[in-house]
Amino acid sequence: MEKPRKQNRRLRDVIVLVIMLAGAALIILNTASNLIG
Amino acid sequence: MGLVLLAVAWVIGSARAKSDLMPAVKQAMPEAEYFERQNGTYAAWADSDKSELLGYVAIGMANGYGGPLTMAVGVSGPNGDIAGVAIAGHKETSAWITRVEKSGILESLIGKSHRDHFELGNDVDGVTGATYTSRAIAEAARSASQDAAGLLGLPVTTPPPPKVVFGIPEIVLILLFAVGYLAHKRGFKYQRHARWATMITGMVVLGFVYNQPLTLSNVNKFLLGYWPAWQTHLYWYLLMGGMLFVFTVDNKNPYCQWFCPFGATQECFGLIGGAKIQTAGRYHGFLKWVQRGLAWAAILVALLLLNPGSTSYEVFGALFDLVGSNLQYLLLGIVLLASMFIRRPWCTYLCPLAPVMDLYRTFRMWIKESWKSLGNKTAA
Repeated sequence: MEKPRKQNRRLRDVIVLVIMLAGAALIILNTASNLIG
Repeated sequence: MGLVLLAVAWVIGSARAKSDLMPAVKQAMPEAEYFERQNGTYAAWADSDKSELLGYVAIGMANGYGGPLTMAVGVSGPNGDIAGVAIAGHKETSAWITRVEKSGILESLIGKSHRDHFELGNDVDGVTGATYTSRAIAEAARSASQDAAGLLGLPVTTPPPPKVVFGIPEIVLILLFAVGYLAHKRGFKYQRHARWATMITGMVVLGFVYNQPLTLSNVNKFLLGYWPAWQTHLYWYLLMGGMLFVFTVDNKNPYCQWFCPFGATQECFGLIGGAKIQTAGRYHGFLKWVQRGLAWAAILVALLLLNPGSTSYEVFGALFDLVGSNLQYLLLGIVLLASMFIRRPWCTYLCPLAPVMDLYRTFRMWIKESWKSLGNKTAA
């Protein structure tokens, strides 16, 4: 069993990853729509 | 490999054919049916029989925010008044050009004489938040109207040299560079206070008041060789020159940590939420590569399109000037919300300038090491 602290850290890393990937996806979408439009 | 591809993109972009001016020429003299090209200007005839000469359309160019801006200006009548104007080409961000077009600045030029000054704030009203674009439009229109008036046989005076634009943003920028450079030195007692003072000043003055932070567009402009007249774009030279100078001499980045307006905004949100998270832990390396990939792709496309602002994806305009798309507002919201818990998330994982500065740092180190080893070999 993983210690709760380690689990929390892992969850925190995943949350940061998801937020930043969402940001990168928005950047790509916005740039693509600017270039096409 | 990435750098080689950037160089290839630059070569391809430079070799691309120039844009067609005719649609803008027609727009500048809509009543003309036939245009005859004469040494870069266009004689506008009422019909193809060339029975009635309506006037001339000339092309003028000046430097906007993103790069060269070209205007087609139609001049007619005994006094050489402007009959019509159209933007023939530009390198500005689409949101800014839309704002300028909607502002009525183009319509306000119609009826002006080639003898007018075309000075922002004097006889031409600039558009708030798009001063560089407005100034370029006025300058290009003046230059073209004089060319066309000359063809009509009207007396043309030599234009005065451009006035040096030196105001609050330039003064504040110099001061911020100076304080950032001096105060980041080790042992400075009030380093923390000085840093907050420069950050808040940067956020308020360079951000909310003037919206002139460092963007990828500035870097692309530098790479594409769109170096504007220093008199009218002194701010750009101070920003780019200041960065390169301090970075080269001291290997320190005085901008990002000390007075980047958006970095300061994120830190202010961080104060509210506590912002204890520094990195994404095990995913840190992967996210850094995503950041590099985004920056690289943005520079590559900008070099291919010869348009510095086309892929500049920062959200500064949405925050500081309330100009942006829905997607940009959504991104801004996510970043600011995340800033409450993660320290400077934009700077760490999304800002395109961070990889550019890392690359410059590596390049600087490589040159320094090479120079040193060369010196050792010579000495041996």
